[in-house]
Amino acid sequence: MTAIKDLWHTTWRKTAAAAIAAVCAVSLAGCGLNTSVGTAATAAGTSAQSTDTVRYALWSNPNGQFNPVTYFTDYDRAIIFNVYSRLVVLDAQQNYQPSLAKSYNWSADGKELTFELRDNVKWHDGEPFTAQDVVYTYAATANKDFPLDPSTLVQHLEGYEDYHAGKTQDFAGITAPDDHTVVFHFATPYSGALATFADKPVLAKHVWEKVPIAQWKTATDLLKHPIGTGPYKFKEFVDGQYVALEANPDYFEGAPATKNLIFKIVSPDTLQTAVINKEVDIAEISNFNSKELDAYKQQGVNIVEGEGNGGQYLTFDTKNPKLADKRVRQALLYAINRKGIIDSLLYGHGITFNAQAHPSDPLYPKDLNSYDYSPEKAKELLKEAGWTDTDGDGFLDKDGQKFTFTINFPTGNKTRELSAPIIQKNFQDIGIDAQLSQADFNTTLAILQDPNKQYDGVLMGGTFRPQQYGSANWWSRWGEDGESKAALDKVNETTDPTALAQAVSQYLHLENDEVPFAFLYIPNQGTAVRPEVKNFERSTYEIFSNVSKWSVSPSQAQ
Amino acid sequence: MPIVKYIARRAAIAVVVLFGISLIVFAVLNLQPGNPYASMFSPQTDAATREELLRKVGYYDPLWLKYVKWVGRALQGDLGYSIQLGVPVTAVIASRVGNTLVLTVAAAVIAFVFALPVGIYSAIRRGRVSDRLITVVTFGIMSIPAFFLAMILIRVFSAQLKVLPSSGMITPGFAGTPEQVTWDVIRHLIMPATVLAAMSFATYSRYIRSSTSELLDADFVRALFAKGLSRRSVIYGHVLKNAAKPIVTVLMLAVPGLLSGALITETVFSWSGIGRLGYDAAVGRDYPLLMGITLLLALVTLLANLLGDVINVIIDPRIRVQS
Repeated sequence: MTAIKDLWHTTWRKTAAAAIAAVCAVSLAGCGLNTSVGTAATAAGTSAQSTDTVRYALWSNPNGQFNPVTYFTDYDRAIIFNVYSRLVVLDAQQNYQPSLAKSYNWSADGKELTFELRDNVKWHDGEPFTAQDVVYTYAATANKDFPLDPSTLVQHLEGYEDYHAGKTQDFAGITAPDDHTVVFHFATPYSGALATFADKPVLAKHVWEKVPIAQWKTATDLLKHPIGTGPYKFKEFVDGQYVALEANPDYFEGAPATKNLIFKIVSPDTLQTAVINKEVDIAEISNFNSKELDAYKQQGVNIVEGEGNGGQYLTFDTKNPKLADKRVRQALLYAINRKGIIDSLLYGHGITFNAQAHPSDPLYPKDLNSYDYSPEKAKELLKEAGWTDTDGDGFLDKDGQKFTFTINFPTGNKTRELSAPIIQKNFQDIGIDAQLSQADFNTTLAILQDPNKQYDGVLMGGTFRPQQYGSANWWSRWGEDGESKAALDKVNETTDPTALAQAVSQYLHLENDEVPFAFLYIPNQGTAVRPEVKNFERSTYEIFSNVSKWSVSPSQAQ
Repeated sequence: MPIVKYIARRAAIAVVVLFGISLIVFAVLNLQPGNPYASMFSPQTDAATREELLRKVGYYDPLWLKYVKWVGRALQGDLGYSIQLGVPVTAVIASRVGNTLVLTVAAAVIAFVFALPVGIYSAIRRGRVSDRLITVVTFGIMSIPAFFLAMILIRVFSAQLKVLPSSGMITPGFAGTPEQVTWDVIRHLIMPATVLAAMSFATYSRYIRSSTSELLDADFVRALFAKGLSRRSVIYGHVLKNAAKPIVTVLMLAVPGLLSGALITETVFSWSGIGRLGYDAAVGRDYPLLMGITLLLALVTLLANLLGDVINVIIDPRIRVQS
């Protein structure tokens, strides 16, 4: 027996030694790791907080498309909005404030928008910022080779058709009378123009003109080394790990308080631990479960909560004969217990909305029909529209057709997925044979993008943009003609503030009455902020507007 | 040299199989409903613009033409551009594959190192209480989902003890001597490698146990004992050598699993490797990237099988190559 015991011990010892050696060798071969390590920053401990760095968690890897006019994901957007700057920005009251521009001015007829630019701004590479950069940026999006669809803004400009078709070399709609003035000439007035400028930062002509516009989406070198005019300079992007930014001492609104801004990629599964373990300082939280919130609070982490800027909706196929009658759509909206969805799925942290505009929008009418949950009202409206249960099978019918309704929804958003069966039950309660159909995001989009495909309803999410109205911003088949189109054109053409408020009110009332979507809910945005971080503030649309004041207090840092 | 002929023949078959795989995967991907560019259009894009942009990228080509184009370029080493990332597929894969290798090799080594003694020990003690106990424990480990184990480790070592970073491969902006950097990476590697290792540990130890215990009953082993050899020399000199064959086969068969099986672990721990990349590519319908990753996995699987057979021939010259 001793022999075997002996054998056991030697085997174990030898293999263990070999194993440890092997593991070490493998790890040392970590040179093979694709993590080029930055030069500056902390040489101190690994998770120790230092006062010259703020670390912000991103839920997912950016695509590395750091170009303000071609990016797709919110993760790329976070980087872009710190590296680049915009002509105008939104303040907390959703008014436009000049930023890269010193001032802006509409002509009386609403056909000319003039920007006076700051004259002391430099790109991160030292080149001066001029009016030519602005002209170049927005003209590029109208170019025939531009790899994405042209923005609504440029389509409203003079000479768009000719320039887009390649008939003219210069875009007549954008001119620069001198180095610090840019004028946008509109063929038809466009009141949403400033919203576009608050959303699309300006890129550097001298950098991007070296690459043909058709290749912008694959110009990896430039995309991954953005040069902007913003508060932070780009330092490095370690794929799948983090993006490091460095303070721009020459930022036109003053150098940022904190030297390094790091965006660390953390999956939502480990987010809470990462904040508690001091691996990140600021993180958007993924749910408002009170247990989760308590865990943060126990560790002294603050939760900053504000209104979200994304709305969830059930879009109706208004061309589907069954749903063509607006009373039917209104009935469906009355039937959905939206308050119940917010209470159960968002733990009360969300709001409803009743037209495709954010309720905090200064022009959002206060007297819209709020469609409070009422199955009775729903049944009444359906009865008016001719839907009754004539054969006593428990389901409504009309002309011998049973009322069926398929709720299509994509995978991906947990709350949205969970809301589908609730809506199904709500519809069944008023006598509709509601079914669920779940598919991946792309397959669901294919339903919406095929104009020949008829559907009942599709659950989708959309982002609100300040003062961008019009159902076409979200997936819908309504508003392309007739009264609704006229009302929207009126909104877009009106630049006088009082008249605009009236036009917007009219359009949103129409939409509120027509119910092209079942407007569902807007989840609140919650951000976990470590106690060491000072001056973190955000508004509905601007997360980083205050970024240059963010700082880490030394007293509580280890 | 029959072995050279053997390898050449097997390699030729592998090339044909690879073509077959590429054709099937290509067809399956492209026949899905929806298109890979769908998520790039905003609701505002009108149908005509959508069609124009799709035509530019060759979306309306018939399937066979797409495949021929793809193969033509692939043969020159060009797997196209990733739709989501705008970067050549080969470059994306090359930048990620090293990370997966570090993680999975570390996991395989840990798993094997624990599995070898455990397997041999339970083979020697087979049927006894300790063997049964080990069996229960290994099956227990095997049945814990990777995700769950990962969350428990994170909870204990990051949230409570605060000794290990909860995710990532390296501390952002960390700079120091090469030793410090290596240590930083090892600290990040410990938890994901352990989770991955736990998954394969059970399999390995069971294989080692069964291949060793079969041999302990073999006549030649009895004869060796009868000759008066010590247990140690019997087991080291003869049993292990003979047990190596099935073990090598198992290890080689596990290689593709190591590359692709790290998906959940890589996702939870934000380890930027191939598994996570493949998942993102599938979700985002990045067909060129997905084709590249699938081909890589197919290639690795074929190579590992080939290598396993060749090693067996070398270990055991009695396996005669039949031509």
